[in-house]
Amino acid sequence: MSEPRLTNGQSWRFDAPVVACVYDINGIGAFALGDGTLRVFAADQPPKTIDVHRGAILALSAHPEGGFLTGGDDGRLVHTTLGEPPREIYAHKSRWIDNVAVSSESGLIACTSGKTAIIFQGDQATEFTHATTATGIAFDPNKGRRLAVSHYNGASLWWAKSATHEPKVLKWKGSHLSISWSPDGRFLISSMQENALHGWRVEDAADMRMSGYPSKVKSLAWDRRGRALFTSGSSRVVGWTFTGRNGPMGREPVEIGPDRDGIVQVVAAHPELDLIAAGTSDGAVWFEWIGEPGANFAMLNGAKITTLNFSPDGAHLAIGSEDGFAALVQAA
Amino acid sequence: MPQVPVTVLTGYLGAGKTTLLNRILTENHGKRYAVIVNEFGEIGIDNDLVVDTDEEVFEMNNGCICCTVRGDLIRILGGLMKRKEKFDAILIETTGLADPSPVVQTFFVDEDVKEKTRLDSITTVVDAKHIAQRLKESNEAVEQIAFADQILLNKTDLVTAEELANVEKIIRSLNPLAPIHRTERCSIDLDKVLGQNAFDLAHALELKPHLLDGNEYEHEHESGIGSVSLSSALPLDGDKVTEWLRNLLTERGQNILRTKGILDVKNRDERLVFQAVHMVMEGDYQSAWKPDEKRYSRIVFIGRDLDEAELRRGFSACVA
Repeated sequence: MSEPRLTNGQSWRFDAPVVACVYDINGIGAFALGDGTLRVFAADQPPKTIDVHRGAILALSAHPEGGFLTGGDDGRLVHTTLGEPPREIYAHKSRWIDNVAVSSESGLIACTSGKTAIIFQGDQATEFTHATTATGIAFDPNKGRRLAVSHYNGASLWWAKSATHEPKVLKWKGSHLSISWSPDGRFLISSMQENALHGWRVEDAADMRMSGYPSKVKSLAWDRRGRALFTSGSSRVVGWTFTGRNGPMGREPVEIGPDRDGIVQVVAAHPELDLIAAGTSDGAVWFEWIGEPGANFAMLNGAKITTLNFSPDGAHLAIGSEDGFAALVQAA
Repeated sequence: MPQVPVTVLTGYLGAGKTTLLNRILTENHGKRYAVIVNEFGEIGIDNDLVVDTDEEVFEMNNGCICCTVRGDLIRILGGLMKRKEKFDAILIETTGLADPSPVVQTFFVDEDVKEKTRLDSITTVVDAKHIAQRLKESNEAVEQIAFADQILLNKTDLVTAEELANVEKIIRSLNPLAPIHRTERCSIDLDKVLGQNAFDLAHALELKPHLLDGNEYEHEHESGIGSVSLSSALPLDGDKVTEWLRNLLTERGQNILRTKGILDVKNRDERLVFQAVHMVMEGDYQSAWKPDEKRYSRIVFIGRDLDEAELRRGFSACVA
């Protein structure tokens, strides 16, 4: 296998797939790996290895108090901060923890285990159970006190404070695989088994269907103003406009980036600029300015890209691949 | 990256699936097998290679009414592929009452599953002592045998030679293709069961060239499930036969459980090898016919209430 070609950056090769990467609230980055470790990096320092899970890490998020929140196929939910031993928050003896969510507004954290979503507040854990597996979770972006859970045939909305109420159920037939709020909290978007997105306007549960993808849509990125949603699942990045009451309905999506053979796997939106980054199935990573065709390649010839994230200051882009290759490149 | 072979293990409760899985997890075979067990499973082993799942059968919104998949498997296989250590094989245990088709269709339909794994075989464990009774009571027990790529005929020590011969005859009436391995307490060399590529007909035929030949068994069981085997020494028209099969499976796929075939297509040097589970078909041109080889086409259908005359007519019309 030839080594990936990188411009303007540093790289590492780990011996397990890179599952996710994220920056914590203090700007420290971490890659989560299939061997259960976090590889934590700060500027110009080699990554530090922290053993967190026994099997693979399946989900990663920045913890609202700093450090990292991870779920693993060892059934554990763990909070890891530099300089302290990882702290187990929850453990299930046989079910994977395959999703985590956090809210910086409310400080709440949550995970899924089988059909159950669990919200943690201090020492208190509240369980919300569904008829089928909870496939994705997200806290509302306004106050962070409402949890959206995707599942078969729709999504459920729960208030964090109590498990005894009936959820608001947003219905749509089929298998929903993940869920995301629009930054203003007006829309919920799920990705589906059938190479499409489904959306709901939260106030009246009006349906929106965004289809035409050649492949499953695995990655969603909202632009910094929350006006557009950029998505993977095609040879180019597909962007949907969310201004106005009806969101993308009745409007053609825009396409960004080069039309290549590889399928875009991951999309990231720059925190301060109108800049999109994408990683593909054939190991390319490119940047493109929104509305200005012409891509700059940051990487070529790698394995399938699994994760991309801009640093909070927008200076760097962290890249992770299926074969354990990871890199940190200059953004733009 | 090579695809990880996956064996789907079916069989009625008490047939011996758990015995086999326990052996796989405890024996010193030097291989790394992951086992996906269902919520009613009885595996007593706490092992990080055992994954517990709820069988969740999902309908696909793709216009195909019979297209159901196992959503839980898509998620779990994806998760297993993230691990550092790679697996020699993955086993999926299904509940005794499960219809095997959603599991199998998952391997045809989902792009991520197809990329990383391949269906190696549907292996059905059959209890030699009780199967005759089970087949009278349970439609699922009948279908599990009809679906199988290979069969472990277990508990053979509990029956007489005559009973055993009778059981094999019944199995053959439901499924003329699947090799039968006789076992006691599921004791069999795992290499004979796993990684056999039994799902791939071309490979199965290399091992047993006469697999699709007509045989001496009954072709229909009292349940209405049986098989029809068609053959031709004349080359077929590739377009016609593809269209015929596609239409046939679209219209009758509910009742046709499995179809496997090897076709001699006019103006092609390679054989067209295909197989289907209900309406979902896959096939491609594989190894070339040898210059001195006698070319042939053969198709075997396993299903319920098959109309042999109709199938024969349709097939004959495809001769080039």
